[in-house]
Amino acid sequence: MIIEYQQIDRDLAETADVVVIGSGVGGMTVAQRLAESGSKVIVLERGGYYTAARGDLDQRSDNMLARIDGRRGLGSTSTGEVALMYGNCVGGASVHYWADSWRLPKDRADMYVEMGVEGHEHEVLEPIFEQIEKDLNVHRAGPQYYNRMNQLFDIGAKKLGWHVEGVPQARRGCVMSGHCYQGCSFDAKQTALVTSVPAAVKAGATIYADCEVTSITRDSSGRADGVEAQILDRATGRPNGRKLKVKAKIVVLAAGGFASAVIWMRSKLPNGSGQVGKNLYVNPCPYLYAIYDEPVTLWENIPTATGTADFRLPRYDGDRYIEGGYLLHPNQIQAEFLAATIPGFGKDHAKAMERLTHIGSAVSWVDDEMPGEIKVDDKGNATYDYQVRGVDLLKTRDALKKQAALLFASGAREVIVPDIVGTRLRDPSQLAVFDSLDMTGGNTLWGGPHPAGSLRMGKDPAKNVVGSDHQAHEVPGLYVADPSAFPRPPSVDPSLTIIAWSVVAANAIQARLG
Amino acid sequence: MTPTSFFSRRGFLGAGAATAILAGGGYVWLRGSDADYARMAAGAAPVVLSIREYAVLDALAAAIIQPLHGGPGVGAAMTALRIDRELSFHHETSMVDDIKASLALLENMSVIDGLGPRFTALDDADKQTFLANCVNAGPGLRRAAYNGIRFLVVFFYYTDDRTWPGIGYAGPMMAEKLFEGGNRIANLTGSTARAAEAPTS
Repeated sequence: MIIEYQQIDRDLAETADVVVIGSGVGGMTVAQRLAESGSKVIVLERGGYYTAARGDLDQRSDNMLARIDGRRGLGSTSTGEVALMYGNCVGGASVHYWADSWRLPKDRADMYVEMGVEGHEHEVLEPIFEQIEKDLNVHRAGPQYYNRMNQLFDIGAKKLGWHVEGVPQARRGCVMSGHCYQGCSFDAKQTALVTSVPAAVKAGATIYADCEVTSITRDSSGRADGVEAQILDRATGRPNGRKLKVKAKIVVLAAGGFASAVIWMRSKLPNGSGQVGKNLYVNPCPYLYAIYDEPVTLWENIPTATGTADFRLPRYDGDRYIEGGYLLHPNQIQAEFLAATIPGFGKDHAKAMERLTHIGSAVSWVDDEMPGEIKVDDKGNATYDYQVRGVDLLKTRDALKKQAALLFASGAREVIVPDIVGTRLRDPSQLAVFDSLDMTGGNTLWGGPHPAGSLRMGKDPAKNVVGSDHQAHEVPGLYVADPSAFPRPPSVDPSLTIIAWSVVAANAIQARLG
Repeated sequence: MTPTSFFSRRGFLGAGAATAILAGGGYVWLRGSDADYARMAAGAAPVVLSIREYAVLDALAAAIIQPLHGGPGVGAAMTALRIDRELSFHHETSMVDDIKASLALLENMSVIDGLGPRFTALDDADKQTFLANCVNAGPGLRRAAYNGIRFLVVFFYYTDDRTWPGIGYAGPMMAEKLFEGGNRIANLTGSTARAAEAPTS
């Protein structure tokens, strides 16, 4: 059963075995598995419930940002350099993700072991990934998924000697509409909305949409024993006065990498390690535009059918950074976003708009190593202090150079940097411009789509927030099942890793429940 | 994966800047008269912005957007009113303060360029010169204010269906569904809709 704000006309009090905060792939994986094993599960989701069947996913960027995105797609870090990209709807960020579905690389699983994570080793996760891939129909993108930008990407990469490969896609019956980011109108993308949400509901779980958790409660011994929440009016985004209390044996925090630490801090839970809210990684995404002589029509077909992982791991000469530390892919931005992110105004901007179909783009996902921090003020409002700096700045500059080289190699006539002045490159000899590109103060705005780390997992309670069983070191009965627990980002799209880790979390909770 | 992009920022002016500008707003806004701004607002009834702020935003939008063949002007597209409605949903961040401060800053900064005391009073050519100076201002409040406003204006303008033919976008495959928490023209009703009847900016 899924209950929405207009169905709640009084304050409510519930009891459950497990209450889950957040309905993204992390929370819903736990909810589904525990409900299927007989536990009474209640899920609380801050955002609304929107479905293809009801026509909610109408492919309009303004409507869909307002429906499914955290802060309605308008949030950014405190200095305006990184856009906070996360979900705020039943299904969480999976509703807007691109369906790229990678397993956690072995080198990263090994790194987690070195950082004190147990029970999530490569060999533990592999059979879980195998099952997830079957469940989500994960398959390598074939030629039918390649829009012109994907084809151009391959042409450019091959000229430069870079290996390209089809990106694994979690899709079933994809019609290639190109509106993946606005939520799939055809239920083809295998998001939580069409997988673990209905499965959990079928198994008896109850989901409250439009329900914002205000506090995780604890008993006199300090053990988590439930949550308090308020119902939000979808038409105003404000509380409508109705409240919900849930008492539960287990509380699962799965509100996502930007929100879980905020709920922790608003609840004034203990922070003996001093690490709550720290170690925030966002996987920043620098990108470039390019003008071609032919139509590219960037918004058609799926976003990323191809890409290169040649640069996923950074190369160093001793301590000196050489290159790499990011994935490199074709980019997809819907027409309205494309218009807004092309620099300029007046006549010059209009001129670019007339050629919008001829604009292509490449993007990188930087595997960041220099974390930021989530803070919560006295009113409970969150800010996100994060700047691309240190080695991450070097990676970003290198990624932009590689993107520009690829775009030129694929036939681009001109490369456009999305900075405020709209810097343009007319040939590859100008790549040095990226060595000094100002990326501060909002001069560039990169996406931050994959938050991680702010409730870090590790066995040492003095340095980490949750243990390897996903339970908080200092709050018995509270489990974390989202990327907040990752000690570092996965270096690939995190969706499958979040699901796999949540399977481990569900197993630990099941063992606890008996 | 999810795409890169977009929007105006939480705190895009930087910590404390909006407060400082707004605190000085009582001074800077003195340069224009209420009647002038009301005339420019053409009967629109914003819910978050003041009439003055709305009039400045509308004037900035008209300078930033040059409609393509057959496309609506920013007045007909209700760009400023849609932004105003969007702001009504941002309760937990500094966005509203940032936008208000940006509008005060941009309205009054033209005097520094020697163009005149108010952006809204400049002729079209001087408005373009002023915006170009914002772009080239380098790091700081002026550039940030311009950039935040520019993004909102361009995004909200080009989410109007009538602009799509001009940019070669065939539009969605699905019918529009009114969202009660949305910011489209369909969400603007009553007195605010009068702005749509005003002459194209």
